[in-house]
Formats: sequence, C-alpha cells, structure tokens
Amino acid sequence: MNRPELLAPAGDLEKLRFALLYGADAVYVGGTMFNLRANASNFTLDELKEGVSFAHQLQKKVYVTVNIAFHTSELKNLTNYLKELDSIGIDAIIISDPAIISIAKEYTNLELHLSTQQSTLNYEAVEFWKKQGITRIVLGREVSKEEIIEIKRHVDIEIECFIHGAMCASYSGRCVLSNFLTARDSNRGGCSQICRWDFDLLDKDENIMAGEMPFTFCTKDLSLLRYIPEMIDMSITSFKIEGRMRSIYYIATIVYIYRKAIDLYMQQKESYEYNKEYEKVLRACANRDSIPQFFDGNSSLECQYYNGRVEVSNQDFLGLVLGYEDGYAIIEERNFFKLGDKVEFFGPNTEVFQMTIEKIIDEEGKQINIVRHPKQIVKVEVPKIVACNDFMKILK
Amino acid sequence: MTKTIIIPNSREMIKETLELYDGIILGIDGLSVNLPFYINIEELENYQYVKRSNKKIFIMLNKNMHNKDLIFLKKIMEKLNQYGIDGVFYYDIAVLNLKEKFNISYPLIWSQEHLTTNDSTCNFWKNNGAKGAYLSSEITLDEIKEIRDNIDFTLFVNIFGYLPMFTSKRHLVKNYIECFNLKEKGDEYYIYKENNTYPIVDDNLGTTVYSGHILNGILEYLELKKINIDYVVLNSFHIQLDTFKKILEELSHLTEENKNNIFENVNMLCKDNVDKGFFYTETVYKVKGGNK
Repeated sequence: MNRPELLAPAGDLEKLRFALLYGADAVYVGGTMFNLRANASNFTLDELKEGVSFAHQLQKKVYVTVNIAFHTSELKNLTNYLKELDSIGIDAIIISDPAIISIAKEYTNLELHLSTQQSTLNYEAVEFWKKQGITRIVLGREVSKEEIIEIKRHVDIEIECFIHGAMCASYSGRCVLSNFLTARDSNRGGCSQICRWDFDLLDKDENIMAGEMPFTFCTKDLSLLRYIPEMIDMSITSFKIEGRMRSIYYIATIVYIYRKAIDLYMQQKESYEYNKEYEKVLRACANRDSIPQFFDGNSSLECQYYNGRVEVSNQDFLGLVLGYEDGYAIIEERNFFKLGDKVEFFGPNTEVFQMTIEKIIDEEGKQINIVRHPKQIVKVEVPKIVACNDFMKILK
Repeated sequence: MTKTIIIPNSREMIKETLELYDGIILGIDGLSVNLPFYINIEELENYQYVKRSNKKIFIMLNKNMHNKDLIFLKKIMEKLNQYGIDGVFYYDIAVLNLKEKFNISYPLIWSQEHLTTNDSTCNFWKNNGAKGAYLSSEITLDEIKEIRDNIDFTLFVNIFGYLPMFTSKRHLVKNYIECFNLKEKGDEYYIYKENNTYPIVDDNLGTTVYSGHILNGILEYLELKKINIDYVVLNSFHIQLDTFKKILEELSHLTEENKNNIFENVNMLCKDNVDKGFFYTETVYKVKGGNK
C-alpha cells in the first residue's frame, strides 16, 4: 500500500507554512506570472525561495502553477521565468498549455505535471501526455472511481485527484463566461465566478421559469473523505485540496482532517472506520455543502446548489495561538470571543482539547470579559500546554 | 484563398445553401458537442452530393471523452476513413493518440475551443501530427495576425454566429426544472441577466451556454482574407434558414467597396443583436503581486 501525497493549496507564504505544518506533504502555489488565481496574493521569486527552503527542510515539496492558456505575446517571458523557477529548486510545475513542454525540456530540468485545465478523462489522452514527458496527470474532476481505476490499469503514471473544495460547473477550460460577461479571461487567471451568479431561466417565449430560487450554475463543493480508503487502495499518487484563495484556518483544518484520515487508514487498515466527527469538522469549515460529485458516478440534481446565495462566512476561527506562558495561551484574535465561550484547541502537535473560557487578560495585564478587536493579542487561561500556530475555535 | 465554412443547423440548410459555402462542419451523435444538430455516421452517405459539388466536409469530434467513449470513438474514426472527409476537429487528446495507432488518412485539426490562443501551441500540435488549428474566439484580430505570421498551419477563424461560452457535463436546466418541480417547456431555453439573454441548451451530453450577441465579423473577414487565413467559419446555431441564407448571400458579394453596406445589412438581418466579439477587446489578465 503506497502512502499518497496530501497536496494543499497555498495562496501566500503564511498559508504555505500552515498547510505544511498541519500535515500536507506538498503545496501548490502561484507565482506572479502565468497562473490561474490572479486574485490570490501569489509568490514573488524571493517568497518562492523562502517557501521552497521551508518545505524542503521538512522533506516536503512545492509545485508552481504555470497553467494559463498563453497568448502569443506572453510566451516571450516564459523561458526566463521557467529558468528562475528551476534555479529555485521547485519540485514541479503544473502546466495546462503544452507550448511549455518543449521550452521546459530545452532550458530546465523541471518536472512537468498536467493541470486539470486539460480535462484529461481517459487513458488514451493520459498515454499521449506520458509520451510527451509529463510525469503526473491531474485528472478532470468529471472522472468516476471506476474510470480512474481503468486509467491506472492502462497507463503507469502518477495520478493526482482532487479530494476537496470548490468545483467548476463546466469542464475545466471550457468556460469563458467571465470573458464575455466581465471581460476577464477565465483561462488566464481572471475567472469572476459567473457560475455563482443568479440568473432567470426563460422558456422559448421568454417567460420566466420561476422556481423558488433563481437559476444558477452553482455546484456543491467536492468532498471525498468517505472514499479515502478506496483511493489509497487505488494507488492514486496525490490527493489534492482546492482553495488557494482560502484562509489559513480553512486550509489548516482541511489538511488536518485529511491527514488524520489518511494516516489512520495507513496504520490500521483492517480496523479503520469512517469518522463522522471528521465530516462534521469539514462541513463546519466550509460555506457550501460538499458531496462526492462525479467520483461516485453522480451527475444529478444532488450536485447542484440552489440556495439563493446564502453563503455565510465562517466565524468559528476565534484565535491563532502565538505561544504558551505559565498556564496561558497567548492568542491573536481573529473573531470575537468572550468569557463563557466553549472552545476547542487543535494544532499539528497539540492533542485536541475542549474547555470553557474562564479568564482573559489583555496586553496591559487587566482581566477582560470580551475580545472584540481584530488581531488583538490576549492571554487565555488554558488547562493544557498549547503551541505556536495552534488554533482556537468556537464549539457549537 | 480564404474559404467559407458553415456550421449548419439542419439537414435542409446543407442543401439549401450549397452554392453559398465551401464546406460544412458536422457533428457525430455521441461524440460531438456545441453544435446545432448531430448525425449518425451512416448519414454521411447522404452528403456525398456536397463532395460532388467540390465542397469540403469536416467532422467535429469535440466531446470531452471518457474511457467508455473510446470504443465508439475508435469505430467512428476508422469508419470516417471510408467517407473521404476533409478533416476532423479534436478537443480531446484521445483523438490524436488514436490516429497514431490506426491507419487514418484524414487530417486532424486542433480545436480546443478556448485554449487555441497562441502560435507555439499550434506548433506543438503541428509537431504531433495536427494539420491545422481552429482558433479561439477570445483572442484579438491582432493576435490572429500574429499567429498567422508565425506559423505555417491551416487556420480556421469564427466570423459569424452565437459562440459557445460554457460547456458542462451537468444537466443544469433539467436539474433546475426537477428541483423546483416545474413543467418542461420543450428544448429551447435562455438565461437572462442585466438585459442580456443567453441561449442555453441541455441535451444528452450536458449543457452549453452561448453568447448573448451574434458575432458579426463581416468587416474582419476582409482582413482575414488579406492575411491568408485558410477558413472562416459561420455558425448558424439559433439562426433561421432564410436569414442565414441571406447572410451567406451578402457575404458572397462582399468587397472592399461595399463592405459597410454589407455589414449593416447583416446587422439588420440579425436584428442588431450583434457585436464584434473579442476582435478588438483584450480581456484583463493581471496577477496580483505582479509588481512586487
């Protein structure tokens, strides 16, 4: 049984650190050029160097997305950029446009992974890309479990599959709604998520088909927590989490839960049982429902989301632990909390525990009842030792 | 010389407009998407009159293929050999990989819809056996010219019609109707937002959404001719036969001298629901932190 790689998104250096500390084996990031998340903070070359150094010290990996569909004028700067990525020691680049292949081969030693933007869904296509020197295929999110097994049976190559996060409503790469409706190029990092907008659906006489909620393309998120054992048994190389724009809390929590599920199955295959508590944590962290989507062959109504755009932002994350001192957690506030709140602490090396907040001290040493200022630093009395980079979240 | 290719929306249109085009693009049921109608391969026999009239027949095999499609795809690709077709457009790379394995005589044309945006990628596919590219509608006229200048490759460019802008495996209309227990109203639907109406088609293979306006690239057609674009494509999706025929007739006597009149006539035939697509519109692409 091969241990799969847990691959997490990292929109900036802080997220990279949290993803790796909370259990990711590798992260994927965007540089300041040619990646599909133009609105993430993204990494300068110096930040990439720092990120790679941090990851490699932990024997972990960093992949850089170079996954836009290039226009001719942009290709001029590509060679130098790839050379720079190579010199930094990036472990692989994730490409969508095959124009990169020959340049990367000629000027660098970069390993090449094929992006999900190519919507690779069958073994003939996988075989073609392998012949081109691609070492890993990120499959399209429309593949089912049986299809992945068949692909693996036909072609011996690393396979990466999304296990968690938001889904495109379209086949990846086959949506230019942003281009037409907002003049932002979705295949060059400008996706404005038109699929989350509300529309009216009209019949041929232009009468509104009035459902209780507006028409939308919006899909539920993907979650394959329940299928982790099967995916490990299928020898899928890499389990990928979506969300370079997400918060450190979201990334750390999702990585933390999948890390536990993977490790538990690897250690105790025979006695492994699905943990509903993990599922609850994942659900609490997201602002949309999540289901297995196409993995179990489903493409029905269940995959859609007609909720009238009620997406509540998550406020469970109360504080980030900066340190521990004589029975107190030093906490930087992220969401309002107060005396009497029931909270939970968790961290990469901290056993999860729950408690009720009974004492809070501010920076001037005064006892206070409420912490309401963003990034306010306070001390909270705790019954157990906590560590820097642990999280305190509200218990509901 | 630039040739005029049409995407017909009915069998009748193929016949009725025969004298007005140089070729047609047809889709095969089960292997093609984003086309107004699809045929069975045996039906190709019925279109031999098109070939006899010295017109070209291209086949669009542009579905995202799953493993289960591959057997049918192989069968169709082999059968297409018998029909003397002039080329097959591919989206999924399986088509190209299969061509290498079988004795396929017709040329393949790279047609990844929105991803066919630069000369180097054209070159990649050329080196891998493709003979041409159907360029993205989301690039500018200058970018088309740049590609033409940089590569010797057969090029296809859209100049007219509603353009596909979204393709999904999901049944978005059917799901919505089912979710709210609504009554189905045939197979013609639109979505509406901020005074724009977009055709949406939900068929056996999923959902396609088209642009709200009709691309009118009549003036650009003359520019494309000057730079020796091999084929311009006119898509008749959602356009009535009579109207489409008149548009082809207008196009057939287009010259530098009468171009503005023809352009206006086409606008009128399209009830002014027209635009220039991305011929002159650059889309925004800016990575945050790019100036760090």
